[in-house]
Amino acid sequence: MTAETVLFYVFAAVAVVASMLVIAQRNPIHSVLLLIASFGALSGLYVLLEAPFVAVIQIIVYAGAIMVLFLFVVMLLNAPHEETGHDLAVHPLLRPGPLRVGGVLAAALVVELVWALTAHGGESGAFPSGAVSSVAAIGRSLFRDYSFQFEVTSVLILVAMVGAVVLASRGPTGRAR
Amino acid sequence: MIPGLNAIVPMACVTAAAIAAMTAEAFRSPGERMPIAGLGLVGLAGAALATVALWNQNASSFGVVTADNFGLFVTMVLVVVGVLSVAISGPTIERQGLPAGEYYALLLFSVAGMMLMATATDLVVIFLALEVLSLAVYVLTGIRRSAATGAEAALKYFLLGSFSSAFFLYGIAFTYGLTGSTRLDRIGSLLAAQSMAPTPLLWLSVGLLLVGFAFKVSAVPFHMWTPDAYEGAPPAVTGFMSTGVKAAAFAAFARVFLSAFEPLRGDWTPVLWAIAASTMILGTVVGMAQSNVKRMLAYSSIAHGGYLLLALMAGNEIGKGAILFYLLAYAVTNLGAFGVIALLDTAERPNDQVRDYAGLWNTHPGLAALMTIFLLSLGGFPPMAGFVAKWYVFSAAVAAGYNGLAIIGVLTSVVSVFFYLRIVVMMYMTPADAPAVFPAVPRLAGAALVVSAILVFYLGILPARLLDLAAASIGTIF
Repeated sequence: MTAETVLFYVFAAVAVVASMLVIAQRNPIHSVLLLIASFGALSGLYVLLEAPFVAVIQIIVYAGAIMVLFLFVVMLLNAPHEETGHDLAVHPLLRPGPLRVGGVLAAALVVELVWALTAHGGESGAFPSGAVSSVAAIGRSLFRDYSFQFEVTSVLILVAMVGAVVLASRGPTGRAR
Repeated sequence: MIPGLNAIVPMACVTAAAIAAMTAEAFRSPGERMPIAGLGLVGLAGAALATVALWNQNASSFGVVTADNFGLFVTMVLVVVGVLSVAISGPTIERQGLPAGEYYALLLFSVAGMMLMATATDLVVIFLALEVLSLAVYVLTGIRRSAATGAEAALKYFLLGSFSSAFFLYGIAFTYGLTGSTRLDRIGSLLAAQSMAPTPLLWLSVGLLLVGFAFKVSAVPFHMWTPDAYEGAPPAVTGFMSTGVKAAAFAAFARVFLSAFEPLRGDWTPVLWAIAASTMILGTVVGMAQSNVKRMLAYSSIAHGGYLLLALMAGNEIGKGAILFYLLAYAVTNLGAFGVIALLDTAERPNDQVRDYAGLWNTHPGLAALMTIFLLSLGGFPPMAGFVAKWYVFSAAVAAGYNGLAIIGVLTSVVSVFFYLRIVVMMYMTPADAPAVFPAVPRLAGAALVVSAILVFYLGILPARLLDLAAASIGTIF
């Protein structure tokens, strides 16, 4: 067993266990934190697949930005504990509203995964061209070919920050302007 | 100066002014008054100088920004829009207690985005510019945080605007997938070289881009946000976004559809025909039913978008020049009209109902006279700018064979005179039942309005020089 295989099993185990724990938590904050762990493990799997850029993006976008959004929503809604009013003994597909939708989606995902893994099996391995997804190549084209677009994006983010401050700030006296 | 950067100098000046305004506000001690508006005017003056210096140079930067005369003409229009907006914003900021530094910074960032949009020759850059200007305008719309209408307007504008941006981005993605490039010239030459019938995917990408542009120029049926956003925003901001966003969006619209998608002209003209006709008709008809001056001018702005679409469809030499001239005439006129509304607007009362204008001639004869000039120009009376602009658009349409659309355009502009004159009648002939108390007119804003009025007459009486410039501008591209 090579080191790579060992690492794969470690990351895979972390990802699976963390994902299962995500849905087993009562406290949404714990769920979010576990989801970050799961994303971190996925990112490790991407590194093993020789897709370092996707791995980095996974950390920056998912574990960073999107998780912060999740945390904000959880904190804004101020819901420390999931509502457990409904009867847990009822079958998920028969529970009201959102749970039923979630059940249908989960069933669809299972069907899809089974189909994908059986119909197109045996094509595993590293991505064919490492050049496209390598961080160096992307960085080179970002700062050489697309340097102007990159700079314009920085202005865009600056505008967004100024806008957010304007809309969210309070006046010097502390009252909302 | 590095030659490779020449084409972006105008927008760099404005961006620098925006950052300076932002920084000045950050380091301002509480209560200290700073001439932040002056910073903005300096930046805009720099942009104007750069624009004049770049004229006929056909400079290009990074291969994605081209300062050809078409883009420079629009940049100049945007400088005029910026200067007039800064000048009429003063009273609004003071009376509503808005944060001056942030207000001017956002306004200038938005102008910089507009300039970039007008000169960009790459779909990705056009999208980035669109986002820079849109984000700033969304915030400016909702900058009056105490007003519920402002928040509603900003939220509606933001949500619908985000959707339209998503459509636009999808269109770019499909175009890139089909042609392998986001540069307009490469897309154009590739499409021209392909003699085969366009695929449904190509129609899809053109359609998605069309939706994005139609939203920004508030063409029917993507106009729903316009009346609410225009009514809820502070009047100075409304004047700014009704002219600036329209000018930038139309510049990019014309560039994309008349250069990159020119080979597909036969496919998109029927769609634009329907959009232009319904935009002119709906803007005019619904505009008649409004009792709020800002909403009325919002529908008027929708109708004017229809006339501009007509010029874009004509696409001939006259039509392309007509777009440029119309954008300038409309910018000066509409900013003037919103400037008057901004001067009558107070924190306690917006004074934006038509009946609020009753007897304005008696209390503020100067403002009433200016408003009359602007409204008559919007209606297309000679010898104002609006008349020449419309005449030029309709003659372009007739020359291109769109007689039906030209007839619709003439008829709707005749009908639209009704609602413009309604305000004029109110101001002169209806006595005020309870005389509204209007605040005094600040000097800078008053001067800006007088300058706009002079420009309206100049463009209406001596349009030849500007028309020549506009006609010369379109020779450089397409």
